[in-house]
Amino acid sequence: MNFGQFGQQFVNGLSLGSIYALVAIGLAMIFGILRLINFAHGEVLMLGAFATYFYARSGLPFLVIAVLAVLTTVVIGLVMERVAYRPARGAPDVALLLTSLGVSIALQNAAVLAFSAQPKKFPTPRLIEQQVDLGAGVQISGTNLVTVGVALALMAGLTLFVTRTQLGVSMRATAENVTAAQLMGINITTVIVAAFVIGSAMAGVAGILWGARVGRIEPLMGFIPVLKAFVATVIGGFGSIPGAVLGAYILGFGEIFLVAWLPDALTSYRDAFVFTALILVLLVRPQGILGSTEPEKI
Amino acid sequence: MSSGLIAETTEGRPASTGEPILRAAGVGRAFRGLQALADYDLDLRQGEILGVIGPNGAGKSTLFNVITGFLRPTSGRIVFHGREIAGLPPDKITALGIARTFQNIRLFAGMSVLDNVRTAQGMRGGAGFWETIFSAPSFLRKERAIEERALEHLAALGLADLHGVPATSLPYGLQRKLEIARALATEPSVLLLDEPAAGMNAQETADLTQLIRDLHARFGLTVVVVEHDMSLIMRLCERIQVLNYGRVIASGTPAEIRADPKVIEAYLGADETPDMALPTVDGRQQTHEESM
Amino acid sequence: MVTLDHAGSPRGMARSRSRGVQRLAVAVAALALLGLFLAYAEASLNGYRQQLVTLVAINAIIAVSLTLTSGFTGVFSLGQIGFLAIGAYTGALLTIAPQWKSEMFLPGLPEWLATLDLSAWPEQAALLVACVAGGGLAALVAALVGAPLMRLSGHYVAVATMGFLIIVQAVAINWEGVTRGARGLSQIPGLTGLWVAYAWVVVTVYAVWRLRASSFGRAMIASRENLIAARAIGVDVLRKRLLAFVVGAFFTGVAGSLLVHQIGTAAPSAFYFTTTFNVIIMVVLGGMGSISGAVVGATILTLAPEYLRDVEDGMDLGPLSFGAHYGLAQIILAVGFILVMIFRPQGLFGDREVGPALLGRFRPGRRRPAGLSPDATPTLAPGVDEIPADDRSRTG
Repeated sequence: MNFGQFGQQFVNGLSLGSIYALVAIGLAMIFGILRLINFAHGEVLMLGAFATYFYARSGLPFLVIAVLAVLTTVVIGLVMERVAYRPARGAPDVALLLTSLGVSIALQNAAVLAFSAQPKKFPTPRLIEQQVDLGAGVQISGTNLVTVGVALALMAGLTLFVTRTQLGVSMRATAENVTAAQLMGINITTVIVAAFVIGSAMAGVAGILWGARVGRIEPLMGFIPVLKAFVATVIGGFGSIPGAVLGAYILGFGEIFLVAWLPDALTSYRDAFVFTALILVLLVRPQGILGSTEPEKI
Repeated sequence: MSSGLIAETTEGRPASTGEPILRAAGVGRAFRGLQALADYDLDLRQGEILGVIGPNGAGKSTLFNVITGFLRPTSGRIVFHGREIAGLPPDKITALGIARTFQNIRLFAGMSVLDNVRTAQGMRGGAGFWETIFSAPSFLRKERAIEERALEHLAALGLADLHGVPATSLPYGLQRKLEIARALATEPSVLLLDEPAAGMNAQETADLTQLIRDLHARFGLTVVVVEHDMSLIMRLCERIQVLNYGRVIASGTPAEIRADPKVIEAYLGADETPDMALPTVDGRQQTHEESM
Repeated sequence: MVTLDHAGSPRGMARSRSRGVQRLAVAVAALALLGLFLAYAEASLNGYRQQLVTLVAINAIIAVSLTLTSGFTGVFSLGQIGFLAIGAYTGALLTIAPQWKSEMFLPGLPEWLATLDLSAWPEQAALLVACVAGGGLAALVAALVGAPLMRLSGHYVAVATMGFLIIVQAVAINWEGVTRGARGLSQIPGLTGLWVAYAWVVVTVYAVWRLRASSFGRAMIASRENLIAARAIGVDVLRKRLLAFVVGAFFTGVAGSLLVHQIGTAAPSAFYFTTTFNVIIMVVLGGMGSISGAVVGATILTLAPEYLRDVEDGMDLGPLSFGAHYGLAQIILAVGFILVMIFRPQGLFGDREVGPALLGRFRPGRRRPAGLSPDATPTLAPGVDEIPADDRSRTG
């Protein structure tokens, strides 16, 4: 691998990691507060991509379309929270997990019914489809550049939000300790709604970026990114947002370089490697392991 | 280690035979630099009832957790019946003959009273896998023995008539007793009671004191009891250890402890005198449905 | 855990001879009823419906296995279908005729397997070998995978077992020399019939029920209800979970073998998340800790899509394609499932069993052993009056 190739792969990994990070942030946020692994998060991403596809027919500028699509995913996230998760709040963790699986399957099939399972070409603006030459033999796609830029900007915004605003601080406090936050007078419902708004918006953005990256969209497209984002949150530590972002980039780079370095015969086993790594992480991390290292009070 | 055997040899007046059964030497446990238990020594003699007292946060629960394997000691040795047990998992330690109850009650919520005890009882003399799968006569025999023994243990705590009701529907005091019955069902030689009188009024505490004394005699137990209620400790224990800040600050008979200025100081320092140290004072919630 | 009910357990092991006889009579009667039903189904249902009834049996085996693996222990496994795949491919490779194996070009097969010819065997003997081998291999893999994974709890184990499923899927798709990749194996002889499928249901239910009714089952439920207390009374949680995982994997592997010998093909897509989700709905719908609930759940979930399809046809939704139909059925199921999760998270039966009389006094939480005062309950202290009405209705 020469320097040019390495640079390309690096940016590629950065870009993939950025998308995972955007998805993972939403997962981690919702997990931190609700203890819910929201499998339906991938469907929010998928619907964001489809919203873009349909709005693009209007001929409006892409930026406007993207904003509208993200607003659509926010509405979807809110409805999801109100209709499925709020009534199930307080139920055992597993019941919540299963509810989200149900929501995920329902939305996937609804999308198949409404949009057909046939993949559609994603309306990526021509501007960002071009290759950018960074010199030294490093050529990267505009999509990758935009992906990285947008993701970093959003993450910076999120950091400001959770450190500088009342609501953001409340969210962090709630993720830390729900009961304590409640005792301090934090309205948990507001915090949860905020988490769904932010998470869904990020997933919507991720959906657009994923569409631009892959070029096609289809109703089951949300599955893989959410699965990977999920692995990222596990690697980084369930519920921790910085952890989720870190995990996402590790995973993004890992995946890209795994494919680059593995013998061809094994590259199609990429997912198997990713999940083997996941299982190993789970086994080594003390949090999940039964036993005395648990900080639980007996 | 069948308590039945010991019961036969020590039937009647329970007296310490003086033989050490559980020894701890220099046991310590630190949490992120905080020493919850330090240099703890113990020479628990066969058949005695030892009381462990101390202000909140003195390390009493840590001590129990270390002995029963829920926490690994960061230093020191614990020897039970001549065998090093520090670092063994809880189920192995229970199997060797140390049973415990919990400060906040931990019953198997979904089970009946009998099944709570029977589950523990089945840890000894339960049928093997293939016996079970094929319902071999030996399986039926073992199941029957387990059930009978479990009912005996329930009867010892006065719960036999309630064996069919859901465990969590029992009133609080009976739930505590059920926990003791369940601990007994593991056929221990040493029983660790973690604040058995918490949440009980004076009369109930007095009854419980008598009950523990009876169980101690009947099952030939060696008992360690952690308790805030001084009336229980003073009436029950032959020997008392006082913990403060993870260290034993005093040790002796009830009379000696009562007179020890260090003890009084420790309690005053903690803004809590022994006589006032009723369990409700510390404001701990007595939720028994606290789950994992 | 999902279930909040009082764990049932068969009480009073053959406390008296008459009860033993009574139980035997109930069991014989139940088997006779099943036999009658199967004879009827064989004689008067058309081929498609017979297949459907067989599929009910296969799904029931998987659901009951998952009840053991996850329902009793509270270790939520999303990887069960991985074992279905292992059993399916193992069984298929054993019984596919050698000429078809060479036709499908499977260079990864060892010589003995490539040339193994069970077609000369009696059909049911060949199927038995395929099922036991499929189940056995699944159990072996479960033992290897479970030994580390069963140390995990809660979400972590769900995630890790899902990882296992994805790995199995990746292998099934990519190990072309053995699995023929995404195209899958075909020409699997149709050896699975109604009778053998239900025979395996009986074996599975019996085995799981025996475990549930023993020290093993009580220890599993105990570790689910309160992990710390379970360890304190001496439960070796890891071993109990592993046992449940391995036995569950065995029967799921058997079901996989039965399945491919019914439908004739084994393709990776059949062993992924859709199937996983369907099986979970079956178990959760029935009640996570209920064996009979799992059977009922499997029956409903296997038959419901058929009826939903009929309804769709009847409503004449015009331009919708067959695929769209399928989607609609899935949506209805998923929404129904969400409603169950919201309004009855313990499922239809919770931990209880259907028809205690039928299944031999399976759920006698309130029954007393002989010789004890039958009216003990009224003498209870006040706390007992505070059992929520809901709770009472579930234990009655």
